[in-house]
Amino acid sequence: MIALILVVICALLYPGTIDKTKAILSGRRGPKIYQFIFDDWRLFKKGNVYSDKSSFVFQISATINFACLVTALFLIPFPGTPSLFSFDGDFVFMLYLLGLGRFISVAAALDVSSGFEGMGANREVLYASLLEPAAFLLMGTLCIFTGYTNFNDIFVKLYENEPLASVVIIMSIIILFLFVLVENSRIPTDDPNTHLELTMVHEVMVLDHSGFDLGLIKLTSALKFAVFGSLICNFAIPGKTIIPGEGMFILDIALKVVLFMLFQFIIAVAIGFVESFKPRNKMARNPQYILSISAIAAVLFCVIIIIKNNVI
Amino acid sequence: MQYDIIIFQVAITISLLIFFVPMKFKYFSFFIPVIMLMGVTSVWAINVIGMHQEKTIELTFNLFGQIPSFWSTVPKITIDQISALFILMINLISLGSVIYAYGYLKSYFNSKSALGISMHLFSFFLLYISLVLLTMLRDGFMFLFAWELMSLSSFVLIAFNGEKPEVMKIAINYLIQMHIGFFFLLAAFLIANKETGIWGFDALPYYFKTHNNVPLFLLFFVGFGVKAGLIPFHSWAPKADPVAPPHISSLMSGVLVKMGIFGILRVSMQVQANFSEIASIILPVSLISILFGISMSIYQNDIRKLLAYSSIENVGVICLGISLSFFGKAYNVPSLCVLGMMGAVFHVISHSLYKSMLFLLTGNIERVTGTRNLNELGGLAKKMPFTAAFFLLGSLSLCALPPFNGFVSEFLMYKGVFKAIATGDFFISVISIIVVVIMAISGGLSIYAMTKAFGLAFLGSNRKAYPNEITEPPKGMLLPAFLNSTFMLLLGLAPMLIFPEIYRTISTFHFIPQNEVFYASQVEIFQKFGFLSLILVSIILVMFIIRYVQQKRVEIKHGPTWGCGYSAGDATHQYTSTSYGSPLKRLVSPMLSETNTYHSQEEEEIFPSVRNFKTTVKDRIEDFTVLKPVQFLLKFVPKLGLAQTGRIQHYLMYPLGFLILIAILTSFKFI
Repeated sequence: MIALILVVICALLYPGTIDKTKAILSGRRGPKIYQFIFDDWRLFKKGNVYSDKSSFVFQISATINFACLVTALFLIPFPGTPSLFSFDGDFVFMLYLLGLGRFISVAAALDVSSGFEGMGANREVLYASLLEPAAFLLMGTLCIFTGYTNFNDIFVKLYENEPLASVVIIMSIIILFLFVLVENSRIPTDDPNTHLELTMVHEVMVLDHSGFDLGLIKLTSALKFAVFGSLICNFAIPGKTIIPGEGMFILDIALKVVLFMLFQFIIAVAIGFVESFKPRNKMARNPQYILSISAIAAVLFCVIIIIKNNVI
Repeated sequence: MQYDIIIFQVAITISLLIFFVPMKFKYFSFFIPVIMLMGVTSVWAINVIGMHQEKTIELTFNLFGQIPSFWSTVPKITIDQISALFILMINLISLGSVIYAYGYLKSYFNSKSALGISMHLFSFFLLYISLVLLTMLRDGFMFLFAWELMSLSSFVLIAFNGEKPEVMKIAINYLIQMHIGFFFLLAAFLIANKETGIWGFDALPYYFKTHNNVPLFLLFFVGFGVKAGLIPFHSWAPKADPVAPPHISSLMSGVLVKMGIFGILRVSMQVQANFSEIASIILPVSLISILFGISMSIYQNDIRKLLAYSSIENVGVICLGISLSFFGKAYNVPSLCVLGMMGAVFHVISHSLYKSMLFLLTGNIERVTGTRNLNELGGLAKKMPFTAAFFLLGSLSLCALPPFNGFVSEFLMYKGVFKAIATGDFFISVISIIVVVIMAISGGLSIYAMTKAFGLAFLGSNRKAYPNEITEPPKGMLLPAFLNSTFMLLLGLAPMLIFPEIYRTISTFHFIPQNEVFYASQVEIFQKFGFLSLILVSIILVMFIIRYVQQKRVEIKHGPTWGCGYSAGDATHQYTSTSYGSPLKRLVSPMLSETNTYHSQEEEEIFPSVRNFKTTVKDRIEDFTVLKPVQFLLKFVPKLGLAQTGRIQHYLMYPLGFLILIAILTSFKFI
């Protein structure tokens, strides 16, 4: 429950933090970090413009995509406390929820019969199918390392044993960070700020959305950041189980909340840094780049399985 | 005599009337017996499912009543848990096709001959009977008889539009491939019979106990695999599915293909040893089926061909479940053993629900537009909202997305595989991670394929002018989709409805470990799973209400699509089927060969004429398994024509020569 509230708060601050970082790094002052909330609120109050070509799919798309991310929130544990719904294989559920969101947003992009959006749509689905193995390989690594198959147990177990855990934790954070950049269509695979539609992937798909739907889409994207950010936080913060009623209970929770927010902040700043200093990939190089994330995850898996089984 | 047997016989008698009644009543004299049989078989199946204390329940009937026993054994039908499950599935899917058939055939009542319609309906009836019988027959001879009946009747059904030569060619291709599979089955039954003296599936436990399990299993696997459309025996499916009438291709993809799976399940439940070897044979076949099926489907322009290739993928997923279960048995990972098999059985049901529905809906598209080519479709969602909505539901379920049934079955497998990884055993973990990666890629690619099918057919604007006005089909042609999608949602939101039944079914397989604690934990997980799906749906609904209220209060405008400053945009600017698939092309180029045929421009050509550009994607595996061998045969077979002289004297000489040969061989004790 704590995670749910925290993730929502972080989500609202994510876009602002990234923009602020980028602004400072490029020598501007930039908007305030909570500017996003006002922008989005303004969109929610606005009317919509629908394309003549569009059908009902265009209108339901943003809503369903948003609902998927909200449902995914229920699966995010807070370090030390299980998520609201914790069951074996919950990460599969989460990744497929993102899939549902992707399907419906791609459908909406195809619905306005624009050449640009079709282009974005097929790139989006291609990149997603190349990216998906990375997440599953990472989860496989964690399963073999901890012996559990749900988020909560995995995170608890990670901090209970072995010196090797630190390697797994650091590598997982790196992989997840790269994963977030692609999944959220940021540099280096995609650029949310580009004004050239031919080089855009995700952003081009929402060209025709307006008003309420656009607000939801922006919120969804922010939530996606926060969801993956909080997964990274779960790796980074020791997840010793908290037992209510013990002496240090409140202090423990408070410490974790602070750490949680701090890590989310660091991730947002890191994304800002990457966006400021890294150039965008050539479009044709993107599949290779995305597959390399899976390759890193595969290497991690091999290392862990070899060490676990004493093969060498 | 029991009543149900009498109903069975009456139904078969009524069905013969199809040939004699006038055109108006033909459909009803087909509909009534089918419904009667559905009723009877469903009651049998539900009875078996209801009596779930025992492991196997056998209801034995004498199908042909008091026929004097010139057969050495009177054919008996036996219903156990797995047959019961399949019977219910067959009845549900067939009901949809049967209802749809009326709407489809109605437009042919004037153009087709009475005999053509009667043949079609009667073969449909035979197909239904053979499907149901196949699940219940244990005797090898009777099983092969029903198998043959299924192949022949489906051949007649595919050739409904057989006056077109290409349709007839495809139908014959289908018939030949089915018979190649048939010979493998015949050989398998013969081998089992030779060693044990029993004809049929009952021989298998004895055979498998005393012999090496691999060769006989392989024979069965090939025989059933041809029907199931596994790679490399798949080439009939993408050809036959598009040309058959939609209700038939829905039945073929939804049920006929599953009879191959049923056969594989029937044999694999008897396997006694060599689990690891058998699993290592099935696993690569299913993984290749998954990857190849889904990548090929992205390149298809014909929407039904696209769905047919995706069926190949799904059959691969089912076989993957079976092979995982075997691995679980061989390497002693009970959770993988149980969950893999459960996933396989669940996926049989899931796939038949959504795939049959999608095929029926493509029939609705073809009905109004006259084409199945995605390059010529588009913009149907505005005129056919219901067809579009059902197609969307089906596509979501096909991509295994929550909250639909397709996700439940893939989730079961994922869970089993991750459990296996968590055990930490080296070999099983490596296998499992490969499976996970391929399932993840194929999950992404199936979103690719289905956004293409749904997006290009229903969304955007039409790429070519349609010949007719676009309208929804009559209600009867949407009813099956409604039926199927209800079940799809129900199974997705409340998998617990069918979960215990599937568990009971697979626990009749002797190698599946029985563990009540494990089962209870799975039940708990699936309650949470179902609840989370419900939450997803309720959040969607709440958001819709909020959106509805918000939209009431603000100004809604309509305008042209944002053209990025280019105002002359029209439908031809949209992505086409070919261009939508092209980014993947470089990545999977070894698997497919694409040929572009065009006429290049000459240097001295001043006024260029109209040119055509044609892209064809060839199925490389089909090249190797069908086309190349056939070309090879064609080199030699015509030489045999020498013997066909057309003179009766020569033909009489051949038996004489044969007799002499036999005489010589026997006298020298060669045979």
